[in-house]
Amino acid sequence: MSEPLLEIQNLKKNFKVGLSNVVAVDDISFNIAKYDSVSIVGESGSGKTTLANLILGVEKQTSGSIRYNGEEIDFSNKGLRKTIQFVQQNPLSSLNPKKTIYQTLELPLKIHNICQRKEIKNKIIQLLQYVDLDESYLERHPYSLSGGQRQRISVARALACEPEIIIFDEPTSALDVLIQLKILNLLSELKEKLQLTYIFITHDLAVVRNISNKTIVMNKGRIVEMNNTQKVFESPKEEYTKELIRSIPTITEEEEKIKP
Amino acid sequence: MKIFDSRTWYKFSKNPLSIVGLLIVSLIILMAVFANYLTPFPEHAGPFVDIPNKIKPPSSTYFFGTDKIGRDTFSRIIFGYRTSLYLGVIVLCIAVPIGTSLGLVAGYFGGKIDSIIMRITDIFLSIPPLVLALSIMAFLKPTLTNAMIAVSMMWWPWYTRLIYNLTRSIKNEGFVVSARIVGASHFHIIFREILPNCSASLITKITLDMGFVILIGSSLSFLGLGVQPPTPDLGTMVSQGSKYLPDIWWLSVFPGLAILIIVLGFNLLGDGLKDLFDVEL
Amino acid sequence: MTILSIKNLEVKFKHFEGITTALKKISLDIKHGEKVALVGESGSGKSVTARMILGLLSNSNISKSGEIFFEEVDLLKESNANIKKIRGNKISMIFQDPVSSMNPFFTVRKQMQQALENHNQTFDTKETEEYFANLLRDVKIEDPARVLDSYAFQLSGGMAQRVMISMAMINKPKLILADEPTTALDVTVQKTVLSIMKEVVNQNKMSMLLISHNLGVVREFADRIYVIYQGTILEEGTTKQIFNSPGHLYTQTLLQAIPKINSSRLPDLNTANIDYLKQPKFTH
Repeated sequence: MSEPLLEIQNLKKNFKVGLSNVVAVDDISFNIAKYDSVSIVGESGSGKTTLANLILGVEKQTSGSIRYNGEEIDFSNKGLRKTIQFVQQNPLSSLNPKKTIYQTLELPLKIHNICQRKEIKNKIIQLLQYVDLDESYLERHPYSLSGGQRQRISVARALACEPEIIIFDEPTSALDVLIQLKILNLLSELKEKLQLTYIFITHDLAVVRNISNKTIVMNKGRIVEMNNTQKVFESPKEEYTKELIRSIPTITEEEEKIKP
Repeated sequence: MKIFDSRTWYKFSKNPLSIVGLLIVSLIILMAVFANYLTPFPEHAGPFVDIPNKIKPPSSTYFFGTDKIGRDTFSRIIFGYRTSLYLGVIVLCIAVPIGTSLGLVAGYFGGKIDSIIMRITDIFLSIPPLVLALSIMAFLKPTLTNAMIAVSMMWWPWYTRLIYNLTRSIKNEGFVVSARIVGASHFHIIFREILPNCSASLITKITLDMGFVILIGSSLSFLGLGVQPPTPDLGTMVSQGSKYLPDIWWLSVFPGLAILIIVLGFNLLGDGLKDLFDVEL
Repeated sequence: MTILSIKNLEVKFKHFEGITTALKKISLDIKHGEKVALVGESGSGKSVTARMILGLLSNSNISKSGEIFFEEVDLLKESNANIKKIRGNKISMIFQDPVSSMNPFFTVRKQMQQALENHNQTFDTKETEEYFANLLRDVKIEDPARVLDSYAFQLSGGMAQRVMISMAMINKPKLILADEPTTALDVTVQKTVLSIMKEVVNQNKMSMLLISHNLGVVREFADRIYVIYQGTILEEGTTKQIFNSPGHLYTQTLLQAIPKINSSRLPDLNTANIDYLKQPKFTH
């Protein structure tokens, strides 16, 4: 059994809201192995977004540890930024409207010295190819792109750092069904090709069922249930998990039958 | 980073008053820059005396009449526009970078830096603008340069406030968070991610401000605190001409109208930009 | 007994790059007491349809043709004044984001009073208080007094949407338009709100037009479904027909593309550029 890639231990995060204390993440522990595809599911207020922010270093935990390859993560080490990357929920606001696609993709390459100056353009074209877009996108601005195209650019940007782990926050919630399928398939291919580890933060359980091997269910800051995805769906232990599965708006009789 | 393309022109042109503003401003700038060629009596802008032709009412030779030493009012107004524009540009070139940088830094870093910068800004903002300018001028010799310094000193806080508010909201936008996660430096985020997204508000405010700066500058020179003769200046002309009202009306009225037109032009243009970019200032 | 009948509605938008046809001569019927769903993805024109019914699109850049009959009256030809009498009264609407649909400065009670006042019903305060409380109880809100005193931001998403449903009912409308009413809600809350909406509509024998991109939601709720794509209705049928035997390629593709919880792999589908509009409308 190899070392876990990411170890979360007794993680806690409190926020001060007015005069009261809100516990967003309440003593969470779990591991993520290399090449895992983990989904963290929960409804609003479950703490899943805060958890993602903690792993990404956007917020600092109140207590507990986050370890990468055995070492406590410390984002003042720029190398870690290269390793753990992020794709956001809202394709509209995740790209700087004043920058061209070229400028957006060039940034991570420059910061982490991924390649030499003269190689940058070629590298960017390669990144676009990874997400099935061609050279013509280089000089365009986000406003002229569709939601699906913008999301692809966000993925390309995450890949530019040559990361090991990518965290996705509701990557396809804002997208139409057909586009969603395309993007999810794309992510699946990229994971194989580039040997990535994925963490998905989402509320869409049907997507979770199809793309992750491990599922963590969160509610009010705590982990309610954690197991292989198949086991969580086919034999959920906790009532909350069962309630969540029952609420999925399914479209076939067969799916209805397997609900708890 | 293109701001104006054919789409924006289309939108802009839908409001006729904005076009009027644009025309006024363009015309004035053109005339001021090429004043030497476009005015009938360019030499009247300098030390020039022609007593026989003094105090002549508006005619076909002297469109706006002459003053008490025979200088053509029309030509002097055009040169006066030069002075006004020069004042406006220099003041904004000082106030905008200072104010913007302070606002960016305060808004981005927050904490103590925020408190210090914004409290200083608040202090400046709480002093009535003209009073501040006058107080500064009380310590300095009345020259154009000093007038520009005084006006800049009262102008930068408005930019600090505007950019501070914008920075605070933009810094939470997805693309700024993404840049942080990608590992971008503070410098990059402030100047390459946040600032460009303030451009619409900045351009609009600068345009609107031009009119007001010119107005304040003219007020200072009206009080004798700015430009000194013989340099033609609209405020000075209004002031000097006011002694002869109402008989020799053309000496004050035309320069006064000139001030009105340039301020109106910048206001209309600025309002048009405000609607176009849909910004709140 | 048809309550709403849209006939050959065509809507074009004029803008900088030219003219876009948002709706290409669509036709749609809703009978008394029926729950009809208009399902489509973004850009399909489904929201435009709802807003055309209620006259909520400003007229400057729009050209329209066709008819929207509501109780024998063509809404497209009515004056603004008459439309205002119908809107919020005989036809009401529920929007996607409940909290932003409410005025942040008013309590729930005040908003409900406004809804009554707009349609000049004179009322006795005590009676209306009881009426409002009952409406709130109908949407399973247990302490109506507290909710009536609340402001929008004090309510959770699900609570706020239930309040919106009861507000839509205030003037006893004949038809309710709901535009993505549960999209902004958590999945467990969504289930509750949908069942409440269904109950309320059934009990009051109202008609409803549900607009959504979520086929799962529609399946739980609607009697009949219209599938719309790029301004054209491609399929029409009962819920059972659409889900059990979808006739149009587009509908079939949509249904297949949705991830299923009884599978551990993504649907295997080739969605490379197919022109769905080539196939004519399928009617069951």
